[in-house]
Amino acid sequence: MKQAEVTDALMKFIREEFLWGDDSRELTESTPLLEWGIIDSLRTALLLTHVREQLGVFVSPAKINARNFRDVTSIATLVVAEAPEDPPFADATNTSNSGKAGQA
Amino acid sequence: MTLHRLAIDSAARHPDRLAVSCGGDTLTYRELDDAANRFANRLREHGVGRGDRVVLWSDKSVDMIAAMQGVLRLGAAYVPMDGTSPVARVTMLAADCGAAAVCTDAGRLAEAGTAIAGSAPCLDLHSPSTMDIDPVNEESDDRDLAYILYTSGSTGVPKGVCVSHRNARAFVDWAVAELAVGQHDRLANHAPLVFDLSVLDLYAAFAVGASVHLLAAELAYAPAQLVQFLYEERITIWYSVPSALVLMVRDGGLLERPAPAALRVVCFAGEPFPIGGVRSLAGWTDARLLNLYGPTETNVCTYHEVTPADLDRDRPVPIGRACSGDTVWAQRPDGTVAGRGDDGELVVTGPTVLLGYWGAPPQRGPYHTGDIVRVLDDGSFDYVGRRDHTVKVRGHRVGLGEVERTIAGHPDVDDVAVVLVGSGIEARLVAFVVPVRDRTPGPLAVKAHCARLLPSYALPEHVHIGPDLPRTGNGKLDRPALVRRHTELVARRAERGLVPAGQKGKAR
Repeated sequence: MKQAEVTDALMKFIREEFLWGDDSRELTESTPLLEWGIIDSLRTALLLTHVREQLGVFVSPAKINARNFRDVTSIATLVVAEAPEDPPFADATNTSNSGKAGQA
Repeated sequence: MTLHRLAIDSAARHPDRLAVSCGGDTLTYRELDDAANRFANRLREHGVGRGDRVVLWSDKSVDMIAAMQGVLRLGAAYVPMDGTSPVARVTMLAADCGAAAVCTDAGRLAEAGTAIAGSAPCLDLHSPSTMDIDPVNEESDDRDLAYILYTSGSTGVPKGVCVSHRNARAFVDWAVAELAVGQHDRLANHAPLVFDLSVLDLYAAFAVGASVHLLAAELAYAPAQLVQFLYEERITIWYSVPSALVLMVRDGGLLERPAPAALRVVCFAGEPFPIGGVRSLAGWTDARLLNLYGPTETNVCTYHEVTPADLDRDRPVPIGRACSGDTVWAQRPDGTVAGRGDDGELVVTGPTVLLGYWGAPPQRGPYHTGDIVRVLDDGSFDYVGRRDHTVKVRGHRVGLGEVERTIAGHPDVDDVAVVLVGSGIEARLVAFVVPVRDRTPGPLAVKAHCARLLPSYALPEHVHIGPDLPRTGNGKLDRPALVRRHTELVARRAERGLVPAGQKGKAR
């Protein structure tokens, strides 16, 4: 799983879901997400669900802390580190219909 | 008796019992005692003493709890701040309360040191183990200030609620007795440490040598993880806003598992709990269900234990009757006491009522909550609503005026209105901004501006930039029209297949 692909997927999700499309293109990879209230604990949960369902990565609770969710770059780094050796979807960022990760 | 005496006594009686756990880190009572003394000795070296205020800016951790205890042992008061608070807000509140020191995690030290710039020492919250552990227990009076919790005021300025040892103890002692908290209990801490709900979790545990299990702020609304936490930590006493419980039921699969036998008390507070959620919980567990009520200014001043008869109601359970040694009544606008069936503002007097707001004259006489209640036939109370323009977002009180004034302070903003849309778990603040002519502030720029000045729960989730604000015939801001405008914008996005997260229809 490549960092750049994960970053793109996260940027897209955050723009669409939390920033109404971000028409003025203000979001960057280093925008402080928690500090500016772009994600809060409720939205962190939604983001984790997305990461699990679309990227097939289950982030363990111990890794869910403010440092790892500071900005898009930090989250992407975390997701890549938490990804299984053989990702279930080789090109997960472009295969949104490829199925769920099977997490209850 | 003082608040910090609780952990000191439990350390003497049960030194090897677990006191606090957080994300895999744990402290026994002896370890908590040592860590608190180390921290107190270090603060003392930096000149902190009785009557001072110390800002503690950190994510939840076992060291944060030890630091709170250490501050109290010096006869000083702590001012907790979430780790995610921007440094500008920390600086502003540290200046407001005249902090004698600001303590934070190593990663934030440099930033804090630059921002605070010499007005107070900035120290690492995590003490080196080389510091001496000589016991520190300064003489303090139970009327001394124990902590300050900053809340969002309706007037537009954050207010520091000053709570004395006596205020906090009146509530904690009541809770320990009412919930029969014992040394084998395991209390969950769901609320942020800046939120008064956390006072029960920490100090009811310390009062009896029980353990408190901290849930990281980032997991507070992750449904599956919340349910996992409840089972894995073998929680016996749960206390949270209803929103968290709603999520656990709706999206966390809580009801699909048998209720843990150890779970014996579930308390909720901060906002009305939809009755359907209460019914679900009552059908799932034999644990006692209690609705606790009280603003930060009084901590918990009334409570109601859910009975089978309550489950037939078509509205949330009552907030009940007075507790914590307080006296409460409903007051009509003309100042008389409301009788059965009547509505009035809930007024509180007694040992939990705050000392006052920081920097303001002390509180004298009863505290007027601003909450409208109805007097029931048995003399207890139903919550009806707010008297002013404050709203609740997942249990936190937010003054819309404060948020509007903050946004209006942005140089590119000409006019602004903030409304609450949705309710319960779906409640969100939405801002409508009219820019200064020829300026185009982006929604994120407005959010970034707010984040410097407001607590995280008071930040608007959506910022709409537009040419005007709707007014009624007599020129007043038309808030219902703004709510409709937002709903229309959501619908328009939905037509394009773009539905904001959290507003998708969820399977129930």
